[in-house]
Amino acid sequence: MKKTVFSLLALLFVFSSAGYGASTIFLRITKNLQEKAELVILFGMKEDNYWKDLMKILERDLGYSGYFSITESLFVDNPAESKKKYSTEIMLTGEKTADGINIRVEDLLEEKTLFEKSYKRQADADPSYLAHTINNDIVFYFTGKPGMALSKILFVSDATGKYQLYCIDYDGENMARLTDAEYLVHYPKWLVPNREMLYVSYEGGWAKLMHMNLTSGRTKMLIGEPGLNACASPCPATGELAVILSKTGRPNVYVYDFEGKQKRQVTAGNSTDASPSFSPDGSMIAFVSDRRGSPQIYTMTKDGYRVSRISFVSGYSTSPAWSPDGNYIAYVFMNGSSFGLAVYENATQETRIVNASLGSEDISWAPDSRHIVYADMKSRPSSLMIIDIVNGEKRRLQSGKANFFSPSWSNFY
Amino acid sequence: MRYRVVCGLFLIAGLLAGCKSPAKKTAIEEENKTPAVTLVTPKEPAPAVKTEEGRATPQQIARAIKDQPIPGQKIPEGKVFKSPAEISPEAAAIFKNINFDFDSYEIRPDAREILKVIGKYLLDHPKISVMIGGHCDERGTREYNLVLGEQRALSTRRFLVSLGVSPERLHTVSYGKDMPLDKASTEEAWAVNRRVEFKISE
Repeated sequence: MKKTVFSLLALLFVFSSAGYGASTIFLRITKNLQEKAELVILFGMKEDNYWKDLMKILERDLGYSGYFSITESLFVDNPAESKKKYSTEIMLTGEKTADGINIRVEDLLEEKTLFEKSYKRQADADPSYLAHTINNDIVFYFTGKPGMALSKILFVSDATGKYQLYCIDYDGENMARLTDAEYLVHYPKWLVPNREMLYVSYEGGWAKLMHMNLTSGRTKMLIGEPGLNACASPCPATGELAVILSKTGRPNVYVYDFEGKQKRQVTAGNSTDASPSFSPDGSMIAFVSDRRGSPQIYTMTKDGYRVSRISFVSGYSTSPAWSPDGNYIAYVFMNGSSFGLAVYENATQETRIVNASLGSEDISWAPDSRHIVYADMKSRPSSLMIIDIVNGEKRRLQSGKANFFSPSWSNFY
Repeated sequence: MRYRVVCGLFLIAGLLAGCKSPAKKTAIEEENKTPAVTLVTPKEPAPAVKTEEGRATPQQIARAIKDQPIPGQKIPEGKVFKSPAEISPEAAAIFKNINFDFDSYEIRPDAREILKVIGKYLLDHPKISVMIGGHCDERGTREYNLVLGEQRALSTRRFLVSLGVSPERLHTVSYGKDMPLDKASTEEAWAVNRRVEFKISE
């Protein structure tokens, strides 16, 4: 019973929800998309720094996921006894095992265990990897979608006085600078999550597409045709890379492989084509084009057929981003002097305005297809923010005295 | 390097003359066949029109006038582009920035006058190459502005080709909205920032 509730929790993410069973709990949730499941965390071991930190990180992760509201988290002598005092919807208990921790998630009302798994304690003194892993398992159990707790976000900042590329954990931890470039570097995009990225470098005087292995720090030029080589959108499922090149004299969409070899030219003609975004299965591409006057969002097959416009909310719509689950295309639209965020649902062809004056500019989806990172251009200097598209809640990822922008979330799975 | 440029020219000339691309075939044949063939082939696909150094072919000019795309040109290795002011006060007076309307890459009448002066200078100085840098104001979104800036550089390039300047000497780069001249958020600043800037190389 409760289990259905949670698959429905996942379902409420599909905005149109009519037609599914009419249980009272389902009606409660679908009437109020913002409603989260109440959750209490009880750990039944000696309270040392490791377990204290693990609980803190797990609590934060579960809160960030958007599905849970954590009402209490504490260490108790006997979780099996203590949990009886709570009337929460979900109880998460952690008990020490010989080599780690056993995590159990229960529906207290129906006295049913929903999820149970034992985890080995890592040799590492820092429990964040373990906490993130537990969170991702729980989120996946309830929603069928990958959690975002182990993902990282690439971005650009001018903190050193020049644009440099950086990487940060999804929760704002472990910010690291990746480049020390004399020339302009820009537009980082993940190619292999947390390991390899593409970016644009102006070394030599023009905008070339570069590849960097983050582990070895090695860089190489991937595409360096005359003119523009930018707007990369990789599709790991097919090994194809959509890009904008202007080598023939117009900016058009091309598809390359990951080795930098051209497979095909996808769009032609005189319009300004920009920002291609592959669907996760690689069959479709969303992109921006001004072919009918103003920049709008279009979709087409990976070979350039069946071009169809999907944005009708503004005279200026850009930055399409296909969600990792394939269901949505998010984009940015101009609204007076600000920018709004819209989400188009592929199945229903309906568009929902998430926020009409978010000030969002560059957007990128989280692995959970529920959160979006963006550069908030309303703040000066610009900061990086994360928005939950279901309930509209916002969280600051990075801000300071410098500008932070062009985020790319490692969202393939 | 030079070989590739020559081949490229043959290819363009060949296509325009309506025959099957001889240059590409030649390159493959060259790899696969005996040296005797190699020695013969480069002689035959002579370009239909001989042009003066640094000048566009009539076909290229025709394409540019019709606003059809002109393929880009790789920057020769080691070529360094400097701002006109670094070269000479004369160059600075000629290679002035040109400006654009919001979300537009159309060459405005005021820009045409500047480009005519630049075009004449380039025809008089056939050794000079130009890096055409497209820029945008802060209002559009970042990645779209990157492409819009490239469009501004490309239409400027086409205009110069229509005046007779060889596209081989004209390279493009876009900086989107990342290098504003005026950081203020005013109409005046935006108008100045929507621009094409020239850098030149001797």
